[in-house]
Amino acid sequence: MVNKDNNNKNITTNKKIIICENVEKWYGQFQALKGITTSIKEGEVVVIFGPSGSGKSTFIRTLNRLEPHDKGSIKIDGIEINDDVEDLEKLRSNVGMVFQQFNLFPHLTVLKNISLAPQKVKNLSKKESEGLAFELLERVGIPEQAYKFPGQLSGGQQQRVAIARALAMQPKIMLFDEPTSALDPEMIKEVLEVMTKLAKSGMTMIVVTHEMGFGKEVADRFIFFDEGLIVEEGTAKQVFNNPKEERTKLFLSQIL
Amino acid sequence: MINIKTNNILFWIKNNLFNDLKGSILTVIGLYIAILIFFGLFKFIFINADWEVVIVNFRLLILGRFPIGQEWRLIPSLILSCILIGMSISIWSKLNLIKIILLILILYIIFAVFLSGFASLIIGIAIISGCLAYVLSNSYVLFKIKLNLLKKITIYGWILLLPLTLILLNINGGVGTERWGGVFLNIMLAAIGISGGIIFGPLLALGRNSNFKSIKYPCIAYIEFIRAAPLIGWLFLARFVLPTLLPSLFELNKIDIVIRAMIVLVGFSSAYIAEIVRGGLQSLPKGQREAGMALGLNEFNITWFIIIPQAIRAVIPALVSQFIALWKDTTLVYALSLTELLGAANAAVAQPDFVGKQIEVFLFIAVIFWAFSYIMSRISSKMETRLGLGKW
Repeated sequence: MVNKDNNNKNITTNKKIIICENVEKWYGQFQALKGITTSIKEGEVVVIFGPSGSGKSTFIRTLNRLEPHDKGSIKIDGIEINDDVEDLEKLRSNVGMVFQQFNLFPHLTVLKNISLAPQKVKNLSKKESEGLAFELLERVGIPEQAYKFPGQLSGGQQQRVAIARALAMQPKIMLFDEPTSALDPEMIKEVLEVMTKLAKSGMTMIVVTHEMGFGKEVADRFIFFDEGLIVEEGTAKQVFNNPKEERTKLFLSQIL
Repeated sequence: MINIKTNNILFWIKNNLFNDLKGSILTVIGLYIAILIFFGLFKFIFINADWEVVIVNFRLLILGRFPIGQEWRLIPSLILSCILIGMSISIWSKLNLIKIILLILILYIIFAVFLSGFASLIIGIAIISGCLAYVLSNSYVLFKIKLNLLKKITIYGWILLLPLTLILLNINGGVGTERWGGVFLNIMLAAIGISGGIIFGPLLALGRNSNFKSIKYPCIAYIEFIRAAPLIGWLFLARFVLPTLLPSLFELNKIDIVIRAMIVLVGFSSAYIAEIVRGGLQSLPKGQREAGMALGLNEFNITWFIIIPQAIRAVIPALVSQFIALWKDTTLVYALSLTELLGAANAAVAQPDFVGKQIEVFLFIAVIFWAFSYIMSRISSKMETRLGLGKW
């Protein structure tokens, strides 16, 4: 088990909640994923980085089947993900996702954005789901925005609502697809703070990001993607201080 | 010191109308033409026109050959729609003093010139209940009713209005559709065409976007087929061809001509509304559907709660202009020898007593068409701002 030196959270079990074997994905002639094999333990926080077009986003989108993979196998919490999955909706509600472009529902208030899925998927009453929504808004620090529409919020606030919306389904795993890339610099911090809090609460998280400061603080493991392959993975010390691969060194020298 | 407001107006006039020689000349010419038209119209309406043709034929223009003594069937709907108009204005719009004065003036002219006897009593009651509804729902706070509840009541009222009218027209013997006429017939045809289009149009649009080929291609075929012929062609088809095509089972081939016209209007407007809504569907970012999927919502919930509301919101202007077009297209049922508003007008001027009174009658029906179209376009622009179009 990986020992963390910079925070006191511990991975509680050794249970592997995500197991990927040789995952491949094509877009026509273009192969976006060329055989990804990795596994993620319960409570682990993994940061995925790499150049654009390297397949990072495609990879995490295969984990909740927004992109069906073409070869290989993905197991989430013991269930094999393929076309035969009986209850894809249930699987997806166990895997929360936060998008680069927030993708909030612009025609619904913040409160309804968060409480819609619990009502429709988990059959919570309006009162229960709105209570849950307020709790989550409190957690992401914007309870006062409950009755506003997404268009009336700043980018940082919108992304925090998106995180609350994903958490409302009480997922076991959270996927973040470049959550701060569409934000103005002064708003990145507020979103990262929420994510840091979430990571320290023991949530299993897979984060595609280039915010290495955040990564170093919370990540148990870094995975470097390039050209549809995992080039290198390891703890912050291993990847940043002693990268084994030339490509990792080159990329790190460009972004750091 | 000069009043700032007048100063502003003078400034605006100088800047926009008389900023140089060319502009000044154009302004003077434009003003002259406008005054000419205005005074011409004014002189015609209040001095030259002989409104007797409209007064005598008022019932014909409004109700066509609706049986005498059966008007009570329409009174509840008339009063309810006035009440709903009053409530809607108080909830979604604001009346200022100028608008109120204008409204009173228009109503005064209608009452003073065109209405008499029983009709004026009924319409008077309807308008008064509308005003009462406006005043009462303006002070909804006093009754401890929440604004949201009031809005819901009003919306359900509007939805129930058409079924209520249809029920009242059919209970206790009923009035056959062959006796419907005048502007009442236009309103019914447009209401049914629009309601049917709202129901079937989005379904067709979703069908056309469907991944299932067995749903997709029939929808495409239907839409393209309907759009390939003009409405009047379909109406003629309904009049002459349909009776011979339909089986005699359940007397389908003897369906009344008005009902056939309604079916045609619903089918026609559905096809056009489907294409408008499809435009809205395509304007939505892919992320909206993905966000719904990622939350575990099923296909139905994604479509109904996320996609459709946004798609329709994005196309309100085009939708309403389709509704306005359909409203005016209802005159085409004149080709089926029905006495809708235009047919009634032609019948009125054909009377020997009123030879040469076309202008009065056609001016009157033009104002009716304009009034309804104008109301629809106002509702459209209100909805656009209310639903916050553009401020995503």
